[in-house]
Amino acid sequence: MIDNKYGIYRAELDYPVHPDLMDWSKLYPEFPNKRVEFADVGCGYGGLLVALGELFPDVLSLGLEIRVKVSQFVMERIKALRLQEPGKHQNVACLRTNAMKYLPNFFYRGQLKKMFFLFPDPHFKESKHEWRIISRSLLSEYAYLLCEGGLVYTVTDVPDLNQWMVKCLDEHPMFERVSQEELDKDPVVPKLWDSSEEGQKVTRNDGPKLLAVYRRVADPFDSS
Amino acid sequence: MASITGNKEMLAVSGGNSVYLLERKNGSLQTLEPPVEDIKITTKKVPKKGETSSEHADKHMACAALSSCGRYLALATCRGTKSLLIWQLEGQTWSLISQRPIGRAASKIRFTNSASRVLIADKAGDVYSFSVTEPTKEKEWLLGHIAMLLDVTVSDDEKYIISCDRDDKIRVARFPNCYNINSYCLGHTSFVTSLSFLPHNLCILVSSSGDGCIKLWKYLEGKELLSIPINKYVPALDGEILPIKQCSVFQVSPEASLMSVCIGSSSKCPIFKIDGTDNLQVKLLCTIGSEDQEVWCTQFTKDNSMLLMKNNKMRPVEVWSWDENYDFLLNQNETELYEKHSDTFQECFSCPSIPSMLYRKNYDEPADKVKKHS
Repeated sequence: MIDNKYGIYRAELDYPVHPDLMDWSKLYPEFPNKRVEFADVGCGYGGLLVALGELFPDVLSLGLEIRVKVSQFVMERIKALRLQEPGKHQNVACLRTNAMKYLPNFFYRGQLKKMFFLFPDPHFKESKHEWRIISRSLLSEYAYLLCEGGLVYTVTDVPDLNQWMVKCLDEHPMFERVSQEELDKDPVVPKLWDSSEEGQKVTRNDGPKLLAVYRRVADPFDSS
Repeated sequence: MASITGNKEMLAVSGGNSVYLLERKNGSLQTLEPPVEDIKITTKKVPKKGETSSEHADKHMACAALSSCGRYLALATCRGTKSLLIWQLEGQTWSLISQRPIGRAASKIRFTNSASRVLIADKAGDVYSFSVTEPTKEKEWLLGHIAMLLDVTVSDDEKYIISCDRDDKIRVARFPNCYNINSYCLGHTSFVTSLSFLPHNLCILVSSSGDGCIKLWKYLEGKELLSIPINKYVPALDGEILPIKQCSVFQVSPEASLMSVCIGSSSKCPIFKIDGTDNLQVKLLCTIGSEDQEVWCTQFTKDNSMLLMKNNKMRPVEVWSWDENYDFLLNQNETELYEKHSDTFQECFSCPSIPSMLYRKNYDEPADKVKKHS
């Protein structure tokens, strides 16, 4: 469906009315009894997703991507990898959806252990700040989806966006920033730059590598 | 959407930019409205989050609310400088105690049970709290959805806040620490128009939706207990599933409540009895509304009355009551008291009761750009 003067392609999105109604067997046929624990929000061409699958073979990782062609590419890529290397890559999959709206339709409370937000759209205009994937409203949703101790990884090469995301996360009572020492020990961190296509581009162009990782903590309200 | 509410002494009808107060004893009308201001209508219109510019031009209606103690009245205006006004009843007069700007047009406003705050659910998706006890204190942002909000409510114990939106979602969060989401009630397949607590069992949430259903939930668990497809009881002439605009609930015994339902584009208002606390039983008692005049709003009041607002030139406000057999009768005397004001109320019906924009398909695909065809 071509719509409006910008010729932007729009299409319907599939999502279950309730997480109980989601059939994950189509995406992870080899893992009927497991739940997704890592979500790559805006997974792009799937570079990080595939790396996560290899780094954490016992964990189901899901890439979420709103763009039709890009999500199709990732699905094809995973399909091909599964054929090329039987027994591997069964724990990664890609879903075409709008993560800003439908995450609670797919996941239960506290289900996720890690959420990745790599190179999100900066939405520079003041009027578009509400469209950003990291905002005070959406952070409450992510806090709901993450288990206590779960992690949010934000990565960008746009300093303004990094400042915005850090501010939102600092101000949200259910997130605390993870220290550099801890990040130095985290095997995921190098993958953020090496395996995502955007990350590789930043390295090539010698752009700023702005990483901010936060841990989901208990609501301080209850203990006060 | 224009609405009606009330208590033993008065009825409050929200209009285009004001609230009409009717004294129930004698039917006299008082209009409360924002103080006259220099209305400079700015021509630049910026589409808000989630809207296209054509929707932005849709007229809004003011929202009004009465506190449960009956001593406060709030009005959220939508023309000129959008503001929240709060009046306090002192003896027989309403005095304006607060006027604070609100950023966006309100979908719904409500007092908390203790009347310490007014909550505004706005069309941009945010809930703000305005203090009543400190009438000049700045507003506080409580929470935000990505889609336009249609209703917000707080539990009686003021521990939970529940909000519902155009994207079929009902979200349950803690109060006042609203950043802590407790659960979602997922099951509606269209915009969710209203939220109430089942009076004889306050752990149960009652929701209405554009999908034509009323659903009952154990909201703390996000568990759907019962779904009532209204079109099965009140079928539309062409078999279409009509949206539910709102519903009102009222306790009649420790184990039972009444529920009146306002259906989009319908002149019929079905009234149900809901029995039981764990095992819910629903029974249709009757359907009221005869002429072909759309029922705009329904509301029970504490004195065992049921109010109906209808798009009717002669009789836009009706008051009903019921006997021990649940036979509903029009309260002829009181209803006639209000007929002389029917002209004043016509402006309440100037906007469609269900804006067409609620049905708009969401555009979710921002980035796949196709080459522009010249």
